[in-house]
Amino acid sequence: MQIKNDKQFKNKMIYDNIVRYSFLVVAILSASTIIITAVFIFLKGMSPFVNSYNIVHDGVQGSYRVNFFSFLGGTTWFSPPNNYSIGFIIINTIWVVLWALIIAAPVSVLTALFVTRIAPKPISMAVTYIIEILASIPSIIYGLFGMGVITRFVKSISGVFGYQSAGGLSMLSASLVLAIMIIPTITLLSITAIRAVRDDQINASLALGASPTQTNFKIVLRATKSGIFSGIILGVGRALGEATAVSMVAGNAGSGPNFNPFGLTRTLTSTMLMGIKETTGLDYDIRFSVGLVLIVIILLSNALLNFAKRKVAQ
Amino acid sequence: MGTNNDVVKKTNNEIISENDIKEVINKENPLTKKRKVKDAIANGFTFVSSTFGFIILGALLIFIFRNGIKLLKPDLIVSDYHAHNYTVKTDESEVYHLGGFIDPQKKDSYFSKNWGISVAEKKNREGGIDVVINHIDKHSPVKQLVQAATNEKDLIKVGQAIDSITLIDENGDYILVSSREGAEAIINALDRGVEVLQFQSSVGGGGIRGSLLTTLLLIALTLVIALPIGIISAIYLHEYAPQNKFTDIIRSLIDMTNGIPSIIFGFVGAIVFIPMMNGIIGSQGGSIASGALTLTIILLPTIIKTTEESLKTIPLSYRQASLALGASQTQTVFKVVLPNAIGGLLTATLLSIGRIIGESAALIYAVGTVIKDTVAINERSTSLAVHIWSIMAGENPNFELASSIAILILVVVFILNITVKLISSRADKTKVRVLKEITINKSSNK
Repeated sequence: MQIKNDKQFKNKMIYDNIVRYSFLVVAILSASTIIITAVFIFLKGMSPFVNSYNIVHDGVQGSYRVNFFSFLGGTTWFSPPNNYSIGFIIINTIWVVLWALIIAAPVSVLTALFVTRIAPKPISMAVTYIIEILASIPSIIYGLFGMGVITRFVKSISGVFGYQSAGGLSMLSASLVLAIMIIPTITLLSITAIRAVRDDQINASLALGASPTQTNFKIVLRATKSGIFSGIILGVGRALGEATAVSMVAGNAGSGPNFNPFGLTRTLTSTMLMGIKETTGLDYDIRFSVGLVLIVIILLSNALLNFAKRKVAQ
Repeated sequence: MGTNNDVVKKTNNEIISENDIKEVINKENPLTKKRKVKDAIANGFTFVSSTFGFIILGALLIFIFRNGIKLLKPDLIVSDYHAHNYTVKTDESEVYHLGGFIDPQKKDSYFSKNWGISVAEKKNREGGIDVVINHIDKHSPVKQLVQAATNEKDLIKVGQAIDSITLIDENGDYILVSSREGAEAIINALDRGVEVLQFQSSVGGGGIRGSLLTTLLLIALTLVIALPIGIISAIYLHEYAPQNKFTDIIRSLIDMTNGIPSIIFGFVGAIVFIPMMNGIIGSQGGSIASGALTLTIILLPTIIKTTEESLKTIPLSYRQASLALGASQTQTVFKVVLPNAIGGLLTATLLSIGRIIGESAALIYAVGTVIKDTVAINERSTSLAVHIWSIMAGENPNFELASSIAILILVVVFILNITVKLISSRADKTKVRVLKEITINKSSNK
């Protein structure tokens, strides 16, 4: 009996170990997707600078590759046969995202403050729920909304300023759409951060004679700086990577950079998504290089903002 | 000692009320009024900001419903996107009997006595006007018109929309008329003509049946692949993994996937999964299968995180009790832990479905943008979200159809959202109950 039990126990242990290691394999598989992504995007993204492509130009077939440095500089997206450059697109992207942030950050932080510290409970719950719904709306629907409402709105504003905008497709439209999309992200994170402020800090401020509003703005917001920054970091990441909605309102300018809010613009993601004709060749592969640059910019902005967050928190 | 007592007495006698403080502040502090104004302005700003979300959501819903509600009928969901076209002409070998047909007197319709056919104008999904056949006489010569290539007859049926007709009149002159000129013009032309050179009509079109099927197929296929991988990874990380550097690396790699935009994963789909699927299932270019694999890597971090969160809420005592009774760790995981985490698994599934329905950028690369009516796993087609992209990114954006699809997507996303909320609030309640039971047991043991 004892021996049989031992055998059962052993079998159980063996079975346990098999399950454990096969689960480990699956977990490694999940974790390796990011490595696969990085490797393949890098290889494909570098291909236009390393490999030669056969392109027919002026009736003559030639073998071309793209110069890496003129790719990163330059003010025109494409001039035949092989001159692609995204210098102005990088500047446009940062400009668009910066304005989206300038619009979204104050609105988000003030909304979070209203929800957590000022509004009565039913209103606070309603506003929070609206923000959660906005967070769950897919980007294609924001794109549709942008094309149907925001571009028209921007067009009418541009008329007031005496500008001719191309049906409202513009830098301002792109920034507004992005702002709408990142407001829920920043607001929800700010709400969490403000809820985590310790009561004794607030009570101390009130006891010193500060009004509730002064406490909110001077104590609560100061205490949640790093939480708000986390929201901003997430928001900027989302704004940089947002593709569909931005492509639908940016207008895809062929050259730049453009700082005029009513002028056409072109972001990295809209470049990746628009004007694909074939699924082979240089014109297709160069978009993977744009993707590679996008990843680098997202990582850089993340690092920069994290550095700023640490500075602010001190 | 004496002085101390005095102080106590004093405070006891003069209990300072709130009103007293306010009075003092109002009288003695000249800054108070200014501060009040400042505070009111600051509060006003927070209030105005918080109405922003309300305004945006309202504007979005009004825009989408106003544009999309008209088309949102059952036939939108069941009909094809591409119209079926029919091109027929007079069969030279037949004898036609024109004229003498009786008008069925249909409302707002025009009737051709010569050809025995009645038509009416109807608005179509693209916003234009269709001339739709609503009656064909039993002996109408239209039924004898023949399709040149196949010799098929009786192709023109009630419900089809006439696109254009080319006729020859009694003098041998050509008459050309198209649906753009309206129903009356078409009937006039028909009554003058004696022979049909070309009769073009079409039926259906503008529907989303194919895209709806594709979306459902994508959801099913992605969940079948992603849920097991995600749940098993979460179980490993929470139940099996030792706390060491290697586990930390796995965890942070999975977290990193979360911050990468979905269009980059679309690239991965294009570079890795499309060639892979071309080799395995013989697809040519993008396919629903490559799309499902792409969605899988997008969803994995969400599924793993949600599952792990729900595993965390299961009390350690459950596992200890199971192990103490002699169950192996595998038995504990499958028979004790997983059944208790069912709410979390459901949440992960619902979140995944919402994400799949809304995803567009990745699928544009990993599947393609060609709208199809016949859907197969090894072929290109569009999900509902990419369908919107396809009809909006072209030369003539179709707001009506796009908005109708958007309504469908929004309704599903809202329902999923509410369900997730209900599940998590129920889970919170059970958590409270479990904690109460534990404390009760502890106190009764004492």
